[in-house]
Amino acid sequence: MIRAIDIRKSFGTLEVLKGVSLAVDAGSIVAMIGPSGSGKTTFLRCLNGLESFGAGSVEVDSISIAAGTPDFSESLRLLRVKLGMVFQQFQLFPHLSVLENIVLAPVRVLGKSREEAVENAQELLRRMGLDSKAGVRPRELSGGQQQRVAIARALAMKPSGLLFDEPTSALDPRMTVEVASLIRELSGHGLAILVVTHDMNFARRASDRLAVFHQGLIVEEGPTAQVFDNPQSDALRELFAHADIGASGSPPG
Amino acid sequence: MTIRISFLLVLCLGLSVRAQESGGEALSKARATGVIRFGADMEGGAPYFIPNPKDPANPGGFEADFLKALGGKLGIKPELRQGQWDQLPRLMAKGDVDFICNGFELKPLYASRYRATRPYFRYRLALMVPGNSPATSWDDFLQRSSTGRKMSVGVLVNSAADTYATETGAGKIEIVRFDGATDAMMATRNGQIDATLQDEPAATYYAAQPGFTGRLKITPDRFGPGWYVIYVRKEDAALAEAIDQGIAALLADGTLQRIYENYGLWHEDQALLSDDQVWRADLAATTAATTARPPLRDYIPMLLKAAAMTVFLSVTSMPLAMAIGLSVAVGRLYGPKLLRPLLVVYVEFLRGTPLMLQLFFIFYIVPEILGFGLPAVVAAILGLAINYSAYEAEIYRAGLQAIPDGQMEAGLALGMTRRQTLRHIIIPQATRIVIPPVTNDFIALFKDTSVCSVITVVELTKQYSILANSTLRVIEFAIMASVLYLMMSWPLSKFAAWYERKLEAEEPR
Repeated sequence: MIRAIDIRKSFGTLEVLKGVSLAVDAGSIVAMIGPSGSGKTTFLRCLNGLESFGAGSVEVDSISIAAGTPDFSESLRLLRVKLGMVFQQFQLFPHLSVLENIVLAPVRVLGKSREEAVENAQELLRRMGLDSKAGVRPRELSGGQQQRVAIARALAMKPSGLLFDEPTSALDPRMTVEVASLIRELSGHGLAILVVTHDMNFARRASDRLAVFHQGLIVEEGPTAQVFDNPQSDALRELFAHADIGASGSPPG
Repeated sequence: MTIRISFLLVLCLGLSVRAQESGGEALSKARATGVIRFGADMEGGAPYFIPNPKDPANPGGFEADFLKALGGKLGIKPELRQGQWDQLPRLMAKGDVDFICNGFELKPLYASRYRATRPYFRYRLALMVPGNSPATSWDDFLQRSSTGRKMSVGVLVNSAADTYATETGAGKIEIVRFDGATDAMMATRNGQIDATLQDEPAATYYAAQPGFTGRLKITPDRFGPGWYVIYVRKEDAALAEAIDQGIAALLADGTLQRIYENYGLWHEDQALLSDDQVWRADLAATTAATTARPPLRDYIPMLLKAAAMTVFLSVTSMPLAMAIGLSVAVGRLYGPKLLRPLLVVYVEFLRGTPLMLQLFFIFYIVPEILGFGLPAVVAAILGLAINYSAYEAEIYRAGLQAIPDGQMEAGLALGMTRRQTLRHIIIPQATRIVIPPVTNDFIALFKDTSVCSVITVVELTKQYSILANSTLRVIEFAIMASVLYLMMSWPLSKFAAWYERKLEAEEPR
């Protein structure tokens, strides 16, 4: 499970996270929504230490990091192994083939033999329906295919949690359903999953729980259906108004 | 490069036209203006010419004093034009100066092309060795070199010492040719070469100077005597005649002896200057002697060997420059905060000072600090590598910065260390980006190897210079050397252009 306790973060004098706590259980999916600048992406990046934070702590399984943990600390590195991340722009390594993208970290970080890492990568590519693409360069793939390679790359480290930053924003809108079901399938294997998204439909379809960010705080949190059906905060009602989804409306499609 | 060759041709044609214009009127023009220009090299030129900081137009030195006295006899004021010593005959041929007087010995190559006056000095050669050397004479030195380790002797390129060492030491010693007499002395003192063969005046003068005294000594023997003469252009017979009369007058009234005694240079052999029969016979024989002119193709192996040295310097120094440059760039972008300003200074210092100066520093000055000298080739490779590392560092820095931050984050997010991410993700991508500019720099470095000639490395330019000056077949060798450079650099630039197109075709990533 992933647990963040009272994370605070400032950029200069601007406080972007004012004490955010959140827990994601194994096998569950939490979506973080909120207007731009509400701090949700910054929070996500604090969880694996890509952003440093001023106060608070993060725990993944038995590994924890506190505010001020240096960039090169061993516990931060181990935490990152436990907590995979799928970037908005995927950040595949363009100079390596799809297979090598997936094989690199298990060999270099986990010390796996190349044969084992390749075998595991091929299995992951099969799961993602990309077994024919092992030898090609990432630039030759479609956006959806690149995302699945990025997911396979993260899964190759056998993490217990996965972070998704805006998984639908770089994709064709028609892909939303597929991505949602893929994420559902992953949580079915026991992963704790945290998703930042601005896509209400996707959040509703893909998540078990919803955390609503507003001005550096979580203003509302609960089971997805419940939060959608009965919004408590002005911030959320405002979001719904802009997203053109009625508070009591059913998910479209 | 093509531009370079055609420029060279135009230059050469221009020179020959100018030389033909001057038509033997140097003396009458000088009489009319009261001034005559002559060529000499003041750089490390004592005791021939000794720079006078208080009155730069009025240097000291025994040749300066001699020319002043000569000018007095002729009623013309000689005016010095500075030039690199081995280039002075060419300056005269193209009309920049009317005569040359700077320790030029009477020798067939010059006497057949220019007009030699009667001698004004009887020179002898002297051997300079490090203070702790066991060598007692030139013959002893040759003996030691041919029985033990083959030793190296520095000479001023194309000087009498060069000719003498080549003739008497063939196969026994390695001859290292310097552009300046004092450079050879410094290299001897630093232990980079085993000895230097010098004209006696230079040897005795510098051996007593602060930097050399006690660390360089002169063996007692004197050998290889010959005449210093003034050369004028062939057509300036009247000028040569006037100078002959002037020298005769200076000998007759004892002026010349007084000048030479001031500098401790009057020895018993100088009496031969007044023995007309002796010098006339030498002058006639030298002028009549024909120098062999082997066909140009005979020189091709020498030029190819020098070209191989050019390639060797390039392919050894460039990988070194790239490795240092990459380290500096990585240090500047990802290294400890304290290190970064130092690396900025490193880059700016090396980019802001000339390569030639850096090579001089490494070859001549670093040995003073370290206490031992680097061989010329090693100094050349190091100098090129260090100089170019600054440029490669800047190229790599741009290449590294072109990789999106997200790539580093992706590596870190997978649990890789910063170092691992740099090595496996960032640097391989940056390297692909920098290949075209680095290839261009490699071509530039390839041509910059020519600067290594200043520290005696016989690469293509140095070999060209030696051959051109010792045969005076300047145009032929310039073209041959240029063609060799072009044949090597052209494929490289083709490759750079091809790779750049290939990279562009692969964009966007």
